[in-house]
Amino acid sequence: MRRALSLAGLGLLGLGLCVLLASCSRDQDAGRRYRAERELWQADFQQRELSVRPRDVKKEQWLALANRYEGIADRHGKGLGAASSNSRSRQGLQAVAARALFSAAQLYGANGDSTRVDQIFGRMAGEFSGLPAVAAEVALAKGRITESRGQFGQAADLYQSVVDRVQPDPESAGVAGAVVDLPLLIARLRTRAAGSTPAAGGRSYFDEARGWYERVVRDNAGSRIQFTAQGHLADIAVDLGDWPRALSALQALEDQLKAIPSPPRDPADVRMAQAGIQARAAKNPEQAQATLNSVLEDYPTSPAVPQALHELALNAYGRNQVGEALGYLDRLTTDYKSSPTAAAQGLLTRARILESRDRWGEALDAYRSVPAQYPLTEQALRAPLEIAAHYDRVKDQAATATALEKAARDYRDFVTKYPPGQQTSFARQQLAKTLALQKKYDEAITEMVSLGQDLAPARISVALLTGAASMAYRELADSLKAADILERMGKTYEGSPVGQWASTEAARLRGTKPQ
Amino acid sequence: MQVGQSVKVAGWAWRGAFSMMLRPITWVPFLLVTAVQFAVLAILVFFDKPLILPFGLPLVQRLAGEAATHYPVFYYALPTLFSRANLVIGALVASIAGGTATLLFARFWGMGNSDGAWRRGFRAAPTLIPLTLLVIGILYGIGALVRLVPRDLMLTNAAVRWGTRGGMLAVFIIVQSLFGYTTAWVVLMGHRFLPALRDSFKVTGITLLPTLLVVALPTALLFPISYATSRIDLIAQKLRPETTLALVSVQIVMELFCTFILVGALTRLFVWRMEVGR
Repeated sequence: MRRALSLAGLGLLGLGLCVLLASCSRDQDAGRRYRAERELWQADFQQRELSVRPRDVKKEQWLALANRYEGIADRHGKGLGAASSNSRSRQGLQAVAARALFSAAQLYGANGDSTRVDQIFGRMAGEFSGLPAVAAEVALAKGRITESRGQFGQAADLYQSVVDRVQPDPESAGVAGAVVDLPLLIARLRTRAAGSTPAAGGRSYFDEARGWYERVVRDNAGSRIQFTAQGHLADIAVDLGDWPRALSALQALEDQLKAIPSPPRDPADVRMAQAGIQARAAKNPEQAQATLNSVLEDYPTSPAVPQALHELALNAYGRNQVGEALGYLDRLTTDYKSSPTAAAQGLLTRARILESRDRWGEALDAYRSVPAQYPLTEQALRAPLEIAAHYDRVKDQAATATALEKAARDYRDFVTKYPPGQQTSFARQQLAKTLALQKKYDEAITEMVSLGQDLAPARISVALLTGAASMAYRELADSLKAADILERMGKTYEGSPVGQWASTEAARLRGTKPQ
Repeated sequence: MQVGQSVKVAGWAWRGAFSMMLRPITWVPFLLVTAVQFAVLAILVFFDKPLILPFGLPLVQRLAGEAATHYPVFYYALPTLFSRANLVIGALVASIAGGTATLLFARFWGMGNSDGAWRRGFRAAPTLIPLTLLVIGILYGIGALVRLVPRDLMLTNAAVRWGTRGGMLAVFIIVQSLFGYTTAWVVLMGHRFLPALRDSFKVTGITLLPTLLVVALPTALLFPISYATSRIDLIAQKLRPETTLALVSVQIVMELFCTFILVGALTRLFVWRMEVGR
C-alpha cells in the first residue's frame, strides 16, 4: 500500500513538475475574473430563459434580474480603479463588471426606470473611463436614450464622442458596427436641434458628414464599409435635395456592388432607390418607369423584383393607366404567392385602386382576400378598417357599424391567437382605432393606455398615451381621466422633456374643467 | 484460429477478467489511477480558487491556452484539458499500476506470485514508462493524420465523417492489440524494452482475432463517451457548460471498468499462451 501511495505521489509529482516548468502564477485577478464571468453567464442564462415567454414574466422578475447584474458589478468591479490597468485579467474583470452594469441599465430602461439608467451610466462613466470600448458603448446607449427624449443636440454630442473614439467596422456586432451610421444621424439631429432644414441652416452639418464618408470611401476601397459609406453619401444628397448628386452616388454604388462576386448589398436595391428618387423627388415618372423596368430585366431573380412590380403599378396608376397597374399587381400576386408580405401588399393596393375607380364589388373581394390568404401580415390587419372606411365614405351607416363590429372581433381574435410581438401590437393599435370609430371611447382609451405602457420607451408609446389623454378630454370630457393618463406618462418618462410636459399638463388638468 | 473459436477464446478471457472483479485486491491499482485522475480533475475545475490558482492557472494555460481561463470556454475545453493531463497520468501512474495489476491477475491464474507486486511494478518503471510513451506517441501521431482529411469534407459529408471515425477506431484497436502484451512481458518475464515489443507483436500475431476482440470491447464501450466529449460544443451550448464536468467524470469511471476488463482479459490470454507454449 505504501508503494501504491508512492505511485499516486509520483503522478501528482509529474504534474507538479509540469506546473513548475510553467512557473507559478500570482495573478489572483484571473480567478476573480473567471468567477465574475461565471456569474454573468448565469445571469445571461436567466435572461434568455425569461425572454422565451416575456408575457408571463412580471416586472419584479426583470427588476430582480437587473439587481442581480448590478450585484455582479458591485462584487467584482469595486476597487478596480478608473485608470487603465496593465494586468489583462484586471482589464477583463473591468469589462465583465461593465457588461453587467450595461445589462442592468438595459433592463431598467426596458422597464421604464430612466432614473436608474442615468445613475448606472453615470457610474459607468466614472468607473470605466479607462476602457475606451465601454465608454463608447455607454455614450452610444445614452445617445439613443437622449434622442428618444427629444434632446437632439445632446444626443448628437454623445454620438460624436463615439465617432471620435471608435474606428468603424460594419462586421462588428458591437459599437464599432454602429459607427458608420452616426455621422449622418449627427447631421440630422443637429439640424433638428437648430430648428432648421438640411438645405438651409443644416448644410454645414451635412458637409461635415459628407467629408467623413468621403474619407471612409477613399480609405476603404472594396470593403463593406465603403459600400455603406457610399450609400450614406447618397442619403446626404437626398436630404439636401441635391437629386443629381444623389443619383450619381447611387449609380456609383451600384457599379461598385456589381463588380464584386458576393456584394454585401443587393445592387437591385440601389437601382430601386434611384427609381424612388426619380419618381418622388425629381418628379419624372417616365424615367422612374424605365428604371423600374430595368430592374426586372437586369436583376430578374433579385428579391427586389416584387417591390419593383408594386412600384410599377403605382407608377402606372399615377399616369392614369389603371389596366396596366392592375396587370403589374396580378403578376405580383401570381408570381410571388409564397412571399406573403409582397403578395398581400399587391392585393391591398389592387383593392384600393379598384375602390378608387368605383369597382367596389371587385375591391371588396380583394380586401377580404388579404386576411383570408395572408393572415399574418400587416396588410391583413389594415384591410378590415379600410372596408369600414369605404362604407363610412359612402354614408352607409348600417354597413359601417357591421364592418367595424367584424373588424374589432377580428383584431381581438388575432391578439388572443398569436404571441405578443410587433404584429399583435399593430393589431392592438388597429383595435383601438376601431373602438374609437365605434365611439366606444372608454374601451379605446383602456387599450391605448395599456399598449402605450407596454411599448414604452418606443416613440409610438408617447403618441398612444397622449392620444388616449386627448380622447378622454375631448370625447368623454373627463379631465381627471386625462390627468391620470398624463400623470402615469410623466412617471414612465420621468426625467425627459416629454415626461415633464405630461406631468405639467396633468397638474394643469386637475385644476381645470374641459372647455 | 477459426473465427468461432476466436470468439470463444475472447469470451473466456472476458469471463476470467469479470471473475476477478470479486477480488478487491485486484482493484487497488485501478482505483489508484482513478483517484489521481479525479484529483487532477479537481485541480483543473477549481483552478480559480485562491489556494489552487498559483499552480492551477498555469496548468490550465499550458494545457489549453489563455482562452481556457475564461468562463464558459474553460468547460468547452475541459475534455481536451483533461485528456492532455491524462497523458501524463497514463505515462507516470497508469503504466506502473498496469504492471502491478498484471502481476496480481497472473498470480490468480497460476503464473508467478504477487509478493511485492508494487515493488516489482516500480522496478519495471524504467521500461514501462517509455513503452507507454511510445504507444501514446503513436496514437497521437495517428490522431493527427485526421487533419489530412479536408475540413470542409468532414463538415459536409456524413459518410466521410463517420468513415474517418470508424477508421480511427480500427487503427486504435490494432495499435493497442500490438502493444497489449508488452506490460506482461516486462513484469512477468523480465523483458527489456525491445524484446518486450518484439514478443508482444509475436503473441498478438498468434492470438490475433481473440486479442483484437478483447481490445475492441472496452474500446467500443468507451466510444460513445469519447464521441460525446468530442462534440462537447453542441452539448454544452444546449445545456449548462458544467455538463462537461459530469461527462468527464463519467468517462473516468467508465475508464476504470474498461481498463480493468482490458488488462484482466489480456493477462488471461497471455498466461494461456505461455502455458500452451510450455
